[in-house]
Amino acid sequence: MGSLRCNAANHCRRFGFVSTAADTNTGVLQGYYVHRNLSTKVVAILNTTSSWRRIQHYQEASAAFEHKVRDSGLQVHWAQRPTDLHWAWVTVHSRSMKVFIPRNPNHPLHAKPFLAPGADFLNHEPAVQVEWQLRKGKSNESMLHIATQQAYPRAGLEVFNQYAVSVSKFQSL
Amino acid sequence: MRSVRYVTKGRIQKGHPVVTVPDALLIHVPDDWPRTLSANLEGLSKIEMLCLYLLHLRATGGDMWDPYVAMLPTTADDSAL
Repeated sequence: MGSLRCNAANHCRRFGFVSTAADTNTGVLQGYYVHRNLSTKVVAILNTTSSWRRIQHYQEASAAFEHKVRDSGLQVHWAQRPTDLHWAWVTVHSRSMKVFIPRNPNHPLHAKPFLAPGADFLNHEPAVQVEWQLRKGKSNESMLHIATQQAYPRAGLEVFNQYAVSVSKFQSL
Repeated sequence: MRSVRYVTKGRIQKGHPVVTVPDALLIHVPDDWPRTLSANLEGLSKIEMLCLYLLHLRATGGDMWDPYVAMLPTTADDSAL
């Protein structure tokens, strides 16, 4: 794991925790769960940082989602418990991807968030360069590829995804 | 920490795919969902609808995404990692 990428990095290290990718949804959410047991003094320090404010924003957004579902009148057993709704919110916001395909706005993936099973098992690394591609496979089926834009020269290296930047790197069929 | 993936042998060249997922496996909210649910979901954003759809998949089961959903962290705390 790398160190927390925020203005409070030094404070974070002083208090004995590290995090990754605080400039992404994943990192911010991860930061929230690391930070929440901290003292008010540490929180006061973190309050001066943009990353902490974003963490609070995500907390509020998750709570707003729960309110919307409750107000919608949805009467299904799987969307009643706040813990389930929060789990879904965090899972989707830390793992989903979204692409824009201006040349084909009718494409089912255009501007719609989606989960890519398997692809989201990769950890996030802000510095890694990837390109998302939609290509035809051998059987003419459409496939989502996450292609690396840098070489991994030897075995044992961890392969990363870059969840935040791929919109501009997307290639469609 | 997620289920990280490492280069197991040889090398990966620049431009090569490191993950490939068939389109059919991608999880996004179908245009006609939720057809049978009685609720006013118009105020929910696309990504919030995906949250609901994921919950729906987890609860109803019996489809090709079961193994994936089963591998997801079971708590919100772990999901953020």
